[in-house]
This record gives sequence, C-alpha cells and structure tokens, in this order.
Amino acid sequence: MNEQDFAERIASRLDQGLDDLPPGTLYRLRLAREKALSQLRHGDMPETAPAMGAPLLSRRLLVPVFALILTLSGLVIWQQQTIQNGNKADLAELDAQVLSDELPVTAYLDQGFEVWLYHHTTE
Amino acid sequence: MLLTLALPFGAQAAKGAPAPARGPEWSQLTPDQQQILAPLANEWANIEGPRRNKWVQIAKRYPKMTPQQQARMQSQMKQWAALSPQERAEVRERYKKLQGMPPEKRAEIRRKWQEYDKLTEQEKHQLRQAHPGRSAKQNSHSLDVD
Repeated sequence: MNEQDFAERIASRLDQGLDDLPPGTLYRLRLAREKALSQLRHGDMPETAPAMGAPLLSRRLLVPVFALILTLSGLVIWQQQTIQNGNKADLAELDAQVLSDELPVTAYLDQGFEVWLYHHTTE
Repeated sequence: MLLTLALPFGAQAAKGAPAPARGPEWSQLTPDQQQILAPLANEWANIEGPRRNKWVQIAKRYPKMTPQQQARMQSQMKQWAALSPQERAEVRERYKKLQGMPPEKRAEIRRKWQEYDKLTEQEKHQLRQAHPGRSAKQNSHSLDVD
C-alpha cells in the first residue's frame, strides 16, 4: 500500500457517517462556521484569543523579564560590594600610611602646632 | 544563571568569614593579628564591626612595613582608635594634603613638629590658647595649605 492509497482510506473512513449526522449537530456546526466567518470578515480574532493570548504572552514574558531583573539586581549588588570593598581597602591603606608616617597623628590635630607653624614657617 | 549569581555570595559565606556587621572577635584573630593589634586589645570589644575589619586589613599590611614604620604604627594605634570619626577624617584629609606638598615642605613641617614637640607643656598650652579658634582652613599656614 502506497502513501496515496493510505490517505484515501483514512479520508473515506472519516467521511463515513457524515450523511447520518443528527440535525441538531448539523445546526450547531453551521452556526459555529457562520460565526467564525463573520468574525474573520470583521478582522476580529477568535473569541478565545484575547482572553487566552494576552496572559499567555505575559506568562511567557514574565520568566525572562524576572530573570533579567534578578540578573541586573545581582550585578548592581555585586558592583556595589566591589566598590565598597575597594573603598574599604583604600581606607585601610590610607590609615596604615597615616599611622606609620613620621609625622604623628597628634600633629594634625594640635592647634598649638598650627600656631607654631604659622609663626615659624618660611614662606 | 541564578546559580552563577549566587556563587560569589555563597562562596563568601562558605569561607566562614565573620559577619561584616559585627567583625571578628578578639579571640577569632590569628596570633599574628593579635600581636600586631595588641595596643587595641582592651578597646577591641568597643570597636564597631566595620572598623574591626579595617584593622584586620591594616594588620595585613604591617609585615610589609619597615621596622621604623611598624614601631610608629604600634605607638599610634591606641590614640588613633580613640579619635572621633570626624577627627580621623580630618587627619586623613590633612595627611593627603601634606602628601601633595613638595618633599622639602613636608620635611620642614616634620622638622617644625620636632621643634614644637620639645616645647614644655606650658609653652604648648600658651600656643593652643593663641589659636584663634576659627576653622583650620582659615588660619592654618602649612598643614592646610591649598
């Protein structure tokens, strides 16, 4: 049996009983077809599309958007931590220099020394 | 992706590093750190977390210093820790300005300090009284020179 024969046999099986459909079923099918055609003419989407499509789209977008926000937040936090760590390292370095310098810490805060310098420093 | 993001934080936590908010307790410092930071041993409990962490960072730099620098640092630690945050900020600013001056000017200021340091307490007191009390920026001649 080739492909063509097989397809014809399926079609003929599906067509069996079409002539014996109850009037109620035929009526409902006709109404559904007319409604679909009418909506198509008016350029509307099928009735179920707006209700189903938008949330589906949102749900599809939600995961990547959420992941993106999470990634960006993570990057910002990481960057801030890096900067803070850098600042702490700079401050520790600066303090180590201040503390080990020849001029003692007292000198920077002693007002008497300021006056002494004012009167004894060469221009 | 989320795992990648979580990794640096996870790795940090896994090291068992002390919480930055509290900083290491004195007993958590290594013997070397305790030796370097010995002048602060009594005050350590009153030092806030971020400053404890900074002292640990300073202690890491200590071995690279010359013996003279190490001695100076040891002698100044306690006093430095006792300063207010504003005073420390002021000293840092003045230190940075001093570093921006020509070497001969810095040498002169150091020399002047040695001269001043030899004065009696009474003489120093008189000089302090003579300070106009205005902001340092208005009247400082050398340390605060722009």
